[in-house]
Formats: sequence, structure tokens, C-alpha cells
Amino acid sequence: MTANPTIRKAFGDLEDFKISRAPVATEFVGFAEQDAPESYQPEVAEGSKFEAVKVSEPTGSGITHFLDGAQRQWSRLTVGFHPIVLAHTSAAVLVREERNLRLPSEDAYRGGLAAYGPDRPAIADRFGELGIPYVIVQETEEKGYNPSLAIGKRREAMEREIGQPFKADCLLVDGGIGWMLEGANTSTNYIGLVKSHKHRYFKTVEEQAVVLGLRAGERTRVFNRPRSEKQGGAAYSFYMRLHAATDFDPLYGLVRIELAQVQRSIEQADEIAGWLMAETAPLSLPDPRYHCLIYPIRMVEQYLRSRQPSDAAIAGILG
Amino acid sequence: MMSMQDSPEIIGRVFGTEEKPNTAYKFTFWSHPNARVGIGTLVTVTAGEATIYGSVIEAKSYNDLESPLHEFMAHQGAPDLEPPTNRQDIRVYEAAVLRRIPEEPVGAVPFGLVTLADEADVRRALRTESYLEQYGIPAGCYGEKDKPHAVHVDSRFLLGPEAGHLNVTGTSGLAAKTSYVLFLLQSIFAAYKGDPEELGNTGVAAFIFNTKGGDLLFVDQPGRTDALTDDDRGMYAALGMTPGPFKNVRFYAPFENADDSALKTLRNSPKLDEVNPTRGYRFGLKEIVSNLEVTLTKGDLDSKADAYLQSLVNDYIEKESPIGDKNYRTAHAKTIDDLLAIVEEQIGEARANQGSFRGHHVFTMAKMRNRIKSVKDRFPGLVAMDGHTQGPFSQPLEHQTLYVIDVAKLSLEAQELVFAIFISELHSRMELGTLGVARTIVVVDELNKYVPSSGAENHIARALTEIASRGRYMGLTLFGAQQFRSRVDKEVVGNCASHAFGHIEAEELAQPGYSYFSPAVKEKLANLETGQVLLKHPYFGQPVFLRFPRPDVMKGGDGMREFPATSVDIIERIYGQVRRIDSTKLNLVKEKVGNMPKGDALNEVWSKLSAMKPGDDPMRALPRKDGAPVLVLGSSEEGDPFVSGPSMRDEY
Repeated sequence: MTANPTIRKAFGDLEDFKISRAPVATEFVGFAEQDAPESYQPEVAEGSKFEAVKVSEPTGSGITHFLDGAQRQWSRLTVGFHPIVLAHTSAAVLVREERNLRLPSEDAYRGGLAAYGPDRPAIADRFGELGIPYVIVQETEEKGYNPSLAIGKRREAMEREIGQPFKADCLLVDGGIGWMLEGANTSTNYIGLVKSHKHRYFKTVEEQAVVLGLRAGERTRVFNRPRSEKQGGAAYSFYMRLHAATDFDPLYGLVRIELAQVQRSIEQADEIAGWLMAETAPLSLPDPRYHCLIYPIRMVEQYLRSRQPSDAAIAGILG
Repeated sequence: MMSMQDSPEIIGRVFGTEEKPNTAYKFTFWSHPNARVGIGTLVTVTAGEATIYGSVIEAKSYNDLESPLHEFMAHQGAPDLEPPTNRQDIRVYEAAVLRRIPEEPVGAVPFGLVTLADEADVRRALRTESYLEQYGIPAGCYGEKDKPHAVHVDSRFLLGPEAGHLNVTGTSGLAAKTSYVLFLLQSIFAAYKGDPEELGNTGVAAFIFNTKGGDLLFVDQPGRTDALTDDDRGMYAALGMTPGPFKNVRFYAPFENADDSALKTLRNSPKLDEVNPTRGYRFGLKEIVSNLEVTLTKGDLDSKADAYLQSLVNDYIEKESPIGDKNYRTAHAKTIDDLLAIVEEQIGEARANQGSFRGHHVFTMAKMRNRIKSVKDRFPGLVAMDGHTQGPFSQPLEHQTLYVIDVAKLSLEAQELVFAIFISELHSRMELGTLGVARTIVVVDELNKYVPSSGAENHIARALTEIASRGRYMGLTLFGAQQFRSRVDKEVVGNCASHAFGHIEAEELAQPGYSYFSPAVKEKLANLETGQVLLKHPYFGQPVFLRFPRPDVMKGGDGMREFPATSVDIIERIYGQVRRIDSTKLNLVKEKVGNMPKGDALNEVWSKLSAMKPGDDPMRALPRKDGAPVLVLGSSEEGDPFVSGPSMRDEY
């Protein structure tokens, strides 16, 4: 019986190639999101005044599909000063039928392991021989050498790959839908649920007070989120609060929803907000983001994690 | 049955975690939520060339909820709120390995696909295919109610000689211990083929004691037409058995009194007498005295008393010996009165010899004399005044025959005496090889009473222990039953190769002897429905839950309603038996016995007739003089019959 080829064997003769027993320091690998929060002043698209609106009492949810992506990385390799990161990226859409979630078909999943490193053809070839795709991390003046950003982009590409052909029913995407809308066959079926508030809208104190003063089950009027390099195509958006923030920080339970920039989205905003209120049960605990993470998205994450390689499997590949 | 093209439905997949890995003998798998898997389900794991068969011993389900408080919060305290998404849940099962193919290496169970075991899988899993043809005894059914599969045990391991004995545990009244034993006896009678390599006697017979009401007194009669359900009939079909009562049953009951032919039984109906009469049993001097210790209290039975009793048996019951050291007259006791006369003489000699006779103290002798004397009064119908034993052992045992010994109307003390005598007799015949059939099963209920775990040094305990340890070599098999297995002698239980467990109370299940079972199996045993048993058999890698059909026999209550007990005149009893044996001789018999006075002579006729079977010559039971039947006209004061000369009307 012959043992499976390992990275240690394949790269053993390269002098500047090392396998570390412990993860390489994070600063070597870079951070996925290095940008400071940015503020914008959008236009209100629903009515004339930016204000809080009580969401209709939820009677159910019309969302049928849920999309999310995941990534996991192992930074144990270095060549010279450059870390080479092994990362598994994936994305999936789960369908909800009779209140249960499942993968509708294998086409609704993308995932794979790849190595992210500097432009060294000899190394790329050897990873190729091992059956591991090699992604060259371009070093730029602005971002420097940052494998984490490359890994994130690959994950986003996978999300777009399975999200853009989506045609039927209603798909909720974890995050913004700007990039999804660009090149999508149809746009009206996407709902983006943005949990982070790196991009902040409305600069005046009064407007911010409207956003931060939302009570559970309230939303803001719809506004126009313009196209940007970071977020992709333009979309309609509104803030809403899923859980009461009493005794918590003002961002607790606060999410921003993105919809396709069509009139129908404005008409449907209240109904969609009601759907999202319905999605607050079951709670996504024990995930610490449970206040803005709806349960089906947590399930997509769990599903994607179940298909990620384990540490033991990666140790086997490293050798 | 599944065709060759059918592939079994995959219902789950084996998994193992670092915290709870699979081993060579246990594995875990998850299944589809709707898969019909439960405790006791047999499953098959397929992984490459390996096939592993397992029995589910634990079932769990859980979802991703970390705290019930989270669920409460999500529902806002409203239990009827239905969220749009169900929490992800999982059904996880633990299974114990029954068998693996190939048998070597005995490695950890691989991460294969799990299917429900079909009939062929069940046979392979339980290894029944290796003995089914020659030695298979249907022991119950496995599988869905609408698709029962027969499960067989190996007769060599149930009845001997390879292993033997069955122990049945279950709560009285709930576990259907008796029903399972009756079903198994019918199954054995139907399927037992014997061992072609064994020499000597062939066939199998069984003894069972009726201790309560009419429970077992009508097992030769069919049950009510609506007694069997479709499930029962389906199981009978799967087992290859035809539902119906026992075909060959001999019922034995004690006599009411020493000089009476009336029987002390609830099976006492002229209608039954014509088809299958109840026969009487009573015991001779040797049987009574040898087992007298059963009826004695601990205060009575010390080693001195036992020694004196034994000397009486050895010197005067077994053979003829001089009565005393000064009285050289020899005696051979055949009746209790004979023996009492000997004891009186010996007591007299002891008194004349400073209170001692052959080392026995006169007080001990006097005490035993009083105990022997009291036997006649305490057990009037059980003692044969003429010293002759009557009962099932007067003839060789017959193949496929159930011998029911009725003790229900006897006192507890008398029941114990009868039981002790029968067990002793079976044990003795086992030693001598004179049982008459290759295998004899003796069913003993309340085993914890006779061989308690606390230890019992008495005749019954010794005999049962001996049967349990050596019986299988000699053709005697013990089917013991009890409510509390933990209170039965470990040697007796340990010698049983097969074990059946019905409904068992939680207190009993908490005993260390059940630690072998998983918590879920124990829970199932504590809630087991009537008609189900957990069966452990040497060929089975793990115990398996089986269902069995209710025996198609008349219940005691139904029997007593249909055949109410009446005091049947002995003459009518004799005529009924003659009709059954050879009705053409009825008039001849009537002519001979019609005017016979009640008493020993008539009892003797009945005693002989009751031992006969259809086809025998009933005239052989009549009093004879010079080899020919005679008319009995009366009896002398001593009980000797006045007889006429040989009849000129017949060839006898």
C-alpha cells in the first residue's frame, strides 16, 4: 500500500518552503476586511420623508431559498517571507419545503480547497500535481500581500456563481446583493440581509436617530443605495430591527435589507419586512450574532461547515 | 419477499466522532427521520466487501437547541407559534454488532451505509442458516407486523446436548411467560427432528405443572374462534405452524382421598373424559419418604433426622432388612403402615437400650415417626395406601406429548411435595436413562422459590441444580421461569443457554444482572407488551426482540365454563375411557364392572384403564383370576374382593 502524496513530500526539496507546526501569525496572512467604516448620504425612495414605519404583523414568510458562503483557512505554509494559505471556500443555496431545509441538488453547492500564495510557478505546479488549485495572490501597493482578501473574493465568486442563475421563488442572500444583481438573469427575487454596518447610510443626527431608534418590528422608509466598487450594483435598501435593543448596543438586532432597484421592491418592502420578522424564530442561538442572523442562514452555514475538511484532514494533506 | 433485483432501502449512515468512536462491537448511525428504526431493529451496514449486522440498542434524537430558554424566547412564550423553519434535528442510534462478514479481522465498524435487515439478512445476522434445516426450532417472529420473519433457535442448544435449558423472566400476569412456554413447546413438538447422530431413544416430551385454577387444564382444546388476531395468524404462517391446541396431552391430577377414585381437579367433566380423561396420580412409600424433607420445617429436619429417614429408605423401602439388632425378623415396607410398624419396633428397642438404636436417638426416631404418621392425614390423596405409585411414569413417556400435572387444588405444602417427587423422579430416570424419549422438558415456574440465590440445601434445589448442570447430556431440559431472575441461584441461571425476557419491573431491572443491557433496552423491557420477548441464544451475537403468536388453546376460564367440573362417578369415568380406547368392548366391560362395589378393586380398574391409550385392550384392566377376567361381587373386611369364576361368555 502506498501512502497518499503530501505537501511535505512534494515540497521537501525547496529550501525556502516551510511547514509550520503552528498557524502563521495573522499579520502575515492579512485581514479580510481592512476597510474603515464608510458613510453615505442616500436618497429616500419611498415617500418623501425618512422615518420609521411599523412593520405589519407577520403571518408567515414567503422566502423559499437561502444563500450563504463560508470559508476556512489554514496558514501553516511559508515560502520565503510569504505565507501560503490553504483555504476551503464554499457557497450553497438551501430550499425550504414544509418548514424543513435541504440542498435541492448538488448544483446548489460550490466548494473546494485551494492554496493561495505568491506568484511562484514551481510551487503552483507542485500544488497542481497534488490536485490542489493554486491561486496567485497579487501584491498591490494599496493592499499589500493579502491572501485573506483573495480567499474572500473566491468565496464571493462562488456565491455569485450559484446565486445569479437563480430564477424562481424568493432567495434570501446573506449580505448585500449588489454583485449578485450585476449579471443576474432576473433581479426581483433577491433579498439581501446585511448584518454588518461597515457601510453606514445617512449622515445627519436626525436621520441616524431614526435608524438607531428603530424598535423591534419597525423599519425605515426605503432608500436608494447607489452602485459602488465595493458593493456592486445599485439597490433599494431599508433598515429594520429584528429584536429589541433594550439594554443592548444600538446595533443589536439592526439589519439592512437590500432589494432589487425596481418599483415592485418598494411596494413589497413592508411585506418582506414582515417575512423577516417571522424568520426571527427559531433563534439562532448559540451563535453570538443571533440577533441579526436568521435561523435558515445559520443552517446554510452549518451545512457548509459540514462539508469543510477537518483539521485532521488538512494535517493529512500537509504530511 | 424482496426479489433479487430489489436493493434494500438505505435508511442511514454510520458515523463516529473522536469523543464517541465506533468499536468492533458497537457503532452509531444516523437515519432518515421517517425510517422505521427502533430499539431491537436489526440493521445491516455495508462498506466495501464488509457487511456488519447490528441490533439497535439505543435511540436518541436532538436538535441544535442549546437551552430550552432559547426556544421559549423564540416562541415568545406561545407554544402554538409555528416558526417558518423547523429546527434541524437528527435521529441517532447505537447498535450492537450481531455478526460481521467476513468474520476476520474483528476491526472497528466501518463508516458504511445502513439498511434495514430483510429476512435473508436476519438469518445471516443470527446465523440461523447454518442449523435451520435439521435443528431449527421456531422461537418467534422478527419484523413488521405485516411482514413477520421466522426466527429459529438451534434445538441442540435449546434441548441439548451442546447446551441447553431455557430461562424465562417476566412480571407475573403481564409477561405471558406461560404463553411463551406453551408456544415454544408447540413449536418444539412440531419442528423437533432429533439429532441423527444421537443413539437411543428418540422424540421429545414435556412436563408442566398447573398451579393456578384451570390455566393449563384445557390446552388440548382449541381457543375461542376470535382469540387469534390476524397478526397471530400471520406469525403462525411465517413460522410454518398451524394454529391449534396441543394434540397429545395427558392430564394428571391428585386423588381426593386415599380410598377414593375422585380427582381433585377442575378438569373433571364427562364430556372431556370421553376424549381425553384426566388421570390420577398418587405416590408410593419410597417417593413419599424420600421427599419428606420438603414437608418438614427446618426445626424438624436436622442432620440426625435426615440420617434416620435415609436409613429407613435404604434398609426397609429399597430392600428387606432385619428390623432390629435384637429382633432378627426381616421386613420390607411397602406401605406407610408397614414402615410405622418397623419404626415402632425400633423405638421399643431404643428405649430398652438407653434411648439409642444404631446411633439414632429415640427422640429423633419418635419425631420422625410422628411426621411419617401425619403424612397420611396431611396428604390424604397423595399417599397410595397400597404402596403403588400411580402417574405418568407408569409408562414410558411418549413423543410430542405434553404431561400436565395439576396441583392447583392442593395446599402449598402438598404442591411442594408433588413437585419434589416429580423432579426427583425425572432426575432419577434421567440418571438411569429411562425417560423413554430422547429429550424431556420440565417446565418449572417460580424458580426463585425452589433454587433461590440465597442458597437452599434441599432435595429440590439439588435436583434442579443437577438437572441444570448435567441434564442436557442426559436428555432432561429445564424450562425455568420466574418473576425475579436476580433471586435465582446463579448456577442454575448460568447453565441456561437460552434466556427469554418479557415485561420486567424497573426494580428488578435495576439489579446488577441486567447491566448487560443498554438503558434503552431496559426501558423497553419495562414496557414490553404481552406477546413480545427479548431472546438470548448462543447463536445470536446479541439478544433480539421477538414477537410470538398467542397459543391457540382454550383458556382456563373458558374451559371451566364450557366443561364445568362435576363429580364424575367412577363407573361413568371407566365407561368413558373404554369408549375412547375401544368402544366395541364397552358392553363387555359394563357386564364385568357394572355391579362392582366402590373400593380398591374398582379404583384399580380405573387406574389401569387411565394409563391405556386408544387401541389398547380395555379388558386387560379388569380383575383377573387365573389369567381371566372375573366378576367382582364384593369385598371382605380386609378389602380383598370376592370374585366369581371365569366368565364363559368371552375368550378371556
